[in-house]
Amino acid sequence: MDMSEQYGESWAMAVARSRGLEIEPAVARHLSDYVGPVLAQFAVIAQELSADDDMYEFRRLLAEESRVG
Amino acid sequence: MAEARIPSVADLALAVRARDLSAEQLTEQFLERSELAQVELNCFIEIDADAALRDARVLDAALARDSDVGVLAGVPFGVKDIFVHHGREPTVGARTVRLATRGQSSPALDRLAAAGAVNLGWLNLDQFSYAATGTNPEFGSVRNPWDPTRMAGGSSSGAAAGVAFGALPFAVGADTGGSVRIPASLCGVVGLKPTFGRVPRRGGAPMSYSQDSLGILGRTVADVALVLAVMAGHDRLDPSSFDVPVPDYSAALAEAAHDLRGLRLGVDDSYIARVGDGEVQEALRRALQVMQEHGADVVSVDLSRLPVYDVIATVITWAEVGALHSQTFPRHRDQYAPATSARLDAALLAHGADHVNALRLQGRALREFCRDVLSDVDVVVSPTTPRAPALLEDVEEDDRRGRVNRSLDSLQLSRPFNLLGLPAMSVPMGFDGSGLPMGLQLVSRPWAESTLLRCGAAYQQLTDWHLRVPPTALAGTPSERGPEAA
Repeated sequence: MDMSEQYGESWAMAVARSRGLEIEPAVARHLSDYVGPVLAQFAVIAQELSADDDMYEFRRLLAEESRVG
Repeated sequence: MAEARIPSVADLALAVRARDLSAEQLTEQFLERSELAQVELNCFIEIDADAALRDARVLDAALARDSDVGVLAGVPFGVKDIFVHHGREPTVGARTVRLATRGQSSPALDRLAAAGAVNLGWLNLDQFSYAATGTNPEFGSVRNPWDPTRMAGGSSSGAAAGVAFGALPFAVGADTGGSVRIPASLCGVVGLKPTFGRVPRRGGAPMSYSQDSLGILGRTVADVALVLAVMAGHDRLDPSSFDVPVPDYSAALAEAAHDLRGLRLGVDDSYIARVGDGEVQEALRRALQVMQEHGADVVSVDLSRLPVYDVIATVITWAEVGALHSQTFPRHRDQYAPATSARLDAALLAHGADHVNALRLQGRALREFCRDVLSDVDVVVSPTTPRAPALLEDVEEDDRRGRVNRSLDSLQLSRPFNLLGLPAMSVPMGFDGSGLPMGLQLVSRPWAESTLLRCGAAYQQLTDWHLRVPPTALAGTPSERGPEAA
């Protein structure tokens, strides 16, 4: 599935509807143009994740850093 | 340009403790300046003169009893309007839509009160803090003190403009993507975003739980250091707060004043050339030259991962801001400003799994940046904002049409450091050809605020950008009269 389908106008309208928002096609197109590329980039970035990465790492690191120096 | 002799925060507190003037007199002086600032720049949502004078009189009574009145005795300040305070609900920049709050008091504001500081009122901001321009269709835009036809930046817009005008010795803001640093840069003042968890956030309306930080704006790094020492420290009731000792930041500055020797500054010229305009790049080059001439080492670092961090930060922000508005926005969409609606339309498209993965990536990003960049330097240096502030009429037109790109442009050098939770500070680094201020951003390791403050204070000893007074503020500054004797 290419990005134009994955994050296209119909995707934006469907997701917005699921959130309780009815948006016009023009708004959906704008959202697709704005949000789509970011989410597509994010999907690539997320491929860097390994099973060892967890969401508490950020705070663990900050705690570790507080003991440095 | 005119220069300021506005007393420092420390000097104002000293004057009150020494009874050169009363807290009430000092409060009256700055209330007068705040009223002027309100007319010129629209800094405030609400000036609460009665409460401020009441608090000042209580302080004076304590002084009369020879009680300890605190290190910020009688010093007036302002607060971004995101805090519940003694039964007053914050507007969070919106008149018609109110988000639920839990009514908790803010330990950060309580610490300032205990130190003797006097809150003059609640400062204007972007609607729900969710932009970086300082425009607000319900309360009116904040105007840039250096050119009132230009935006002040946001979302702590009133805070930056009020300090720059000389109406407030310091102000409290909040920074999720640059909302203290961006307006500080565009208004020519100092703006500090401390390490995530350094200053407790309880009592403040959230924007992004994983990235929010309260921040401080002031005229000088020394002023900001003094206030940080008061506000910082663990809050056992705030899960985002870390139990890390608070250094005596002011003492550390006094020991290392003017001393840049041995400080390693990292800069990525090619990245900044892609992002920033020519004047900002040239100002950065001059700033680095000044610091290098006084002992700092300037080395190249690689900031090419910042756009990756910005994407991760965007996904986290969308998910978390979207969640906060997920009940109110679908039901009350017509009561949201067009620009806020456009942002929330995007935010509500965020997917839960993407949010969790972004939080997993947040830790990876911090580890990577500390390993690959901060292991080799003490401070990463860049411009705070990539270009001069836009004309207000253009930004307000964007807002009416729901266009968000101008705001996003301002964020690209600041927001990645919110993802990373790093301490980051903007200090004035000069003026462009139109007389508009530019900010120098300094970023350091977690908990290394002392390093940032040392670097920034030394730079301010070598330059005079922070002493300049905006044209809107020239008449009748307190410095020109001097603190009036009791």
